[in-house]
Amino acid sequence: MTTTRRDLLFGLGGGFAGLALTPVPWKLLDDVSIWTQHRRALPVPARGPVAWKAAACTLCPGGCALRVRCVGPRPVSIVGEPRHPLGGGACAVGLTLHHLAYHPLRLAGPARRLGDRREPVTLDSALATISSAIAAAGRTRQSVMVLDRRPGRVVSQAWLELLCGLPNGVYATVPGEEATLAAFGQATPLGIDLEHTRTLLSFGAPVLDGWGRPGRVLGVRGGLRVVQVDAWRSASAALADEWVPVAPGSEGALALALAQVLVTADPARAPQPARAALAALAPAQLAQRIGLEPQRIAALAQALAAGRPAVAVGGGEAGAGPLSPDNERAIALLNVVLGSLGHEGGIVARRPLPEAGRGGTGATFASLAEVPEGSVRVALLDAADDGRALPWPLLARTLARDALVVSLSPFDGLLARRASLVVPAPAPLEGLDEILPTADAALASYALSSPLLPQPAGALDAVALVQRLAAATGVAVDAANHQQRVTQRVAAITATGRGRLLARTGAGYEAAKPADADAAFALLAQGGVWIDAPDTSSLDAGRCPLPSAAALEAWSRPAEAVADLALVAFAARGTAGSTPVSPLLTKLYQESDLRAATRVAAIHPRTAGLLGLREGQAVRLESAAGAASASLRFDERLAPGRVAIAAGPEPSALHPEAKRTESGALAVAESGHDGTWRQTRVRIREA
Amino acid sequence: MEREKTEGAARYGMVVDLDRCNGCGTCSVACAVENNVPPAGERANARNGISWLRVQRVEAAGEARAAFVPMLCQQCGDKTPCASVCPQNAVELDPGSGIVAQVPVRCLGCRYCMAACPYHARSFNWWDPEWPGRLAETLNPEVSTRTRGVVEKCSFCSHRLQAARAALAAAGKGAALAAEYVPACVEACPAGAISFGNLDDPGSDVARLAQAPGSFRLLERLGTGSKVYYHTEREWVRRLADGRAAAGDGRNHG
Repeated sequence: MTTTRRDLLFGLGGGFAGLALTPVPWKLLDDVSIWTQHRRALPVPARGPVAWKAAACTLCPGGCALRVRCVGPRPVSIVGEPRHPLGGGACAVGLTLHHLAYHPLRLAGPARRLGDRREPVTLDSALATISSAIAAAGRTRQSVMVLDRRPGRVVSQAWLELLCGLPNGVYATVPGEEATLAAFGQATPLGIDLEHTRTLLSFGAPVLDGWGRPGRVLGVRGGLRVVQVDAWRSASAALADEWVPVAPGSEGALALALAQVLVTADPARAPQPARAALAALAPAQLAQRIGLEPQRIAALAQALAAGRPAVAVGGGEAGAGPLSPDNERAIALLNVVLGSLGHEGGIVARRPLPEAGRGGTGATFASLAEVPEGSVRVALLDAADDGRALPWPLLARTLARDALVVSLSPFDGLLARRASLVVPAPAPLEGLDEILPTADAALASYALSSPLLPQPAGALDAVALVQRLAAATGVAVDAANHQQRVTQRVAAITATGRGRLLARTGAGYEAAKPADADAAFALLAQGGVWIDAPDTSSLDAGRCPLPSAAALEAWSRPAEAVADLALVAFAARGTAGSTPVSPLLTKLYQESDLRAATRVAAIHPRTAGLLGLREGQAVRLESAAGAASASLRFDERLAPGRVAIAAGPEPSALHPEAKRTESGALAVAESGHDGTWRQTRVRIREA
Repeated sequence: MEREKTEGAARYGMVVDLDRCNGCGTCSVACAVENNVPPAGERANARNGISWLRVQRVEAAGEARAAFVPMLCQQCGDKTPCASVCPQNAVELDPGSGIVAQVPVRCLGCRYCMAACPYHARSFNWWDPEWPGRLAETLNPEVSTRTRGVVEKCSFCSHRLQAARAALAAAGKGAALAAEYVPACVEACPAGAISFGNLDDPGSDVARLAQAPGSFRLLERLGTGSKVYYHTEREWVRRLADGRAAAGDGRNHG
């Protein structure tokens, strides 16, 4: 038999046809998917024994309790402790806390700035530079300032010991959520009895988006009517029962207008000086400045009176920064008029947390805005972060021409990049930290965040740094290290015999009676919490805060027409401070519309039309303080004449490898003499 | 085609209480952490990024409160559109749990499933995943990482179900029902807005909530038999669910 060319073709054709009926093509198809995948480029996570460990979030004052899932020595995921007695859960930023020790912006050791780059230095060299600058400050009668964003810790005490030994120490803080309560000028700390409050009136405070202890607010939300006064439709405004849109900077004016309505109806609500001040205000002009109809103000006041107990809070927005002291005093005055001071469901006294150590009174205590201009020779920026924005000009204003700025932040963040020297502290989950009561807390509390990761060789704990500086400058400070100081404080707390210490167990929290301070420390280090007993002392009802005469006069004048746009800055708590966020938060800021990134500026379409701008266009925002790039987005809920832009997270935290460009509200924020940046005016043009 | 059920099988489902959801995005981030979803590259956006769970903010004119809607794979029933179009059998409906799983190593990247999914709940890997710095050290060893060119989506954290079953089996308690099993988003939600469990268990909270007045499924008229329910007392939000009503101005910022 001969094989022809036709037989060969038939055979091949039949073979291919038969092959199609076998699994081979499907196997090939399967394999194509494997051949086309780049599996060698993928990281393979290491396995190991799984353990759950207790920790607490230190990215903002909220201090949410966490459970950290560790595989071997590595933390791989975090959940908020759901059954925590002060309020459970954690926010999106807190769930990525374990990423920060591995963040590309992490600083490995001390370094000094040389132009735009940074040069590593030894710790001894860094300490010698700081000591020398402190000595120079003594000779020139300039100040040595410590900026503490989370006062009240044992680290704060250590700084005070150092500053008190220097002739010119200044201990500076930045007002936060506690500013409204501090405006009452009471001798004791204040808190809010939220569990019995019926109406919460927020003047720009993000009460439903990371304020106070978020878990506590969520727990009481069902029985709470929330009215949000905001210049734009913020996250809290979108969740509130009522949103009251006002002109930026008119929060105090609205508080006075509401107080005026209430006092006009019932003069006994306010003491005489306040009555006289309120009577002198012209309601129509107040309403014009606020941007609301007088009828709406009257209706809001009546709803507040009917919805008592009611509490008004202000400030604390992480990107917008503090309200001015006059605004805070006006809000405090409204609380007096509402009768919320010292009553159930209102503002109540909270016992101060017992301290340990010497502390001291020799240093000057000041808000950063009160520090005289150009007076600071050495600025030491403590590593603790409150998650809120701090524009560089606010700090730069205080610095002398040859000032040494030392950042203790473990990250190459916004302020650290401006510092002449960095001496990095341990990153979150690498060091021991204290969790203090939040601004809203009606009861004092105390908890710890224990280290889960070893700290790198180049990191230096703040207490150790204080002791090294004290030795170099001849100042006597307590020799106890950080953990010993914390143990002393735990001993001071347990020695009061007040409150209850709750130990964390598998099923939740149980009351515990530790034998001594070391045992109490161990319980707290394992996720326990101490909660104080209620303070039954009464408040000084005679104190009635009043805004300054200048503020009252300014609010009574019609608002001036200005051509530039009013800046509305905002940020979620924990995203605008000196600690970067995890790049994984791009899920919220880039791959969804849930949160606005700093590269997006929102304006009303009508404003854009007047300026000849279109949606999506690349624009440049300019102010007297600086400039920022952004893409334009239309938002009809933002009043015309305003531009809303986020103050954080900074783009280099989300994309560390990308080229750094100035963006966000902090690049254009103009600091006022009162330490706020809410009056910034911005020009906007095509990029 | 109705599939046969495995004896002792569960039908895991979820009810999201939209009146409790405050749009914090914790679920979205917890999901990404748990499932080794990489951070966005510089060019990624809401359309081409990878999100197994994305929270959408919706508003309506005249309504004081916005609604936040967590969008994830709706875990369709027997008529799963994505499974029926996949040429690779890379989408599998597990009869023992009702979970629609994606098998990335089988995926050819044709994206037929993405076109078929009415909920836009699937993501395509346009770029090789990258974890900046040393972030890869924090990855979860229970979930394999995915490469460029494949589709991925929510799996109801099915690796947790396997782990829970294994733990129960090891304890001699049988492997069929894993009561300890909850996905990462449910565990992380600080508002307690997400309930999860066996929809076929009439005694379960999730089964009760799924049938409660005010509960609904997205695009129910399509008959996909999804196992993700939403609940709200707000009528305007429910009207949005069938995809016919306009979402008011639907704009959001921040």
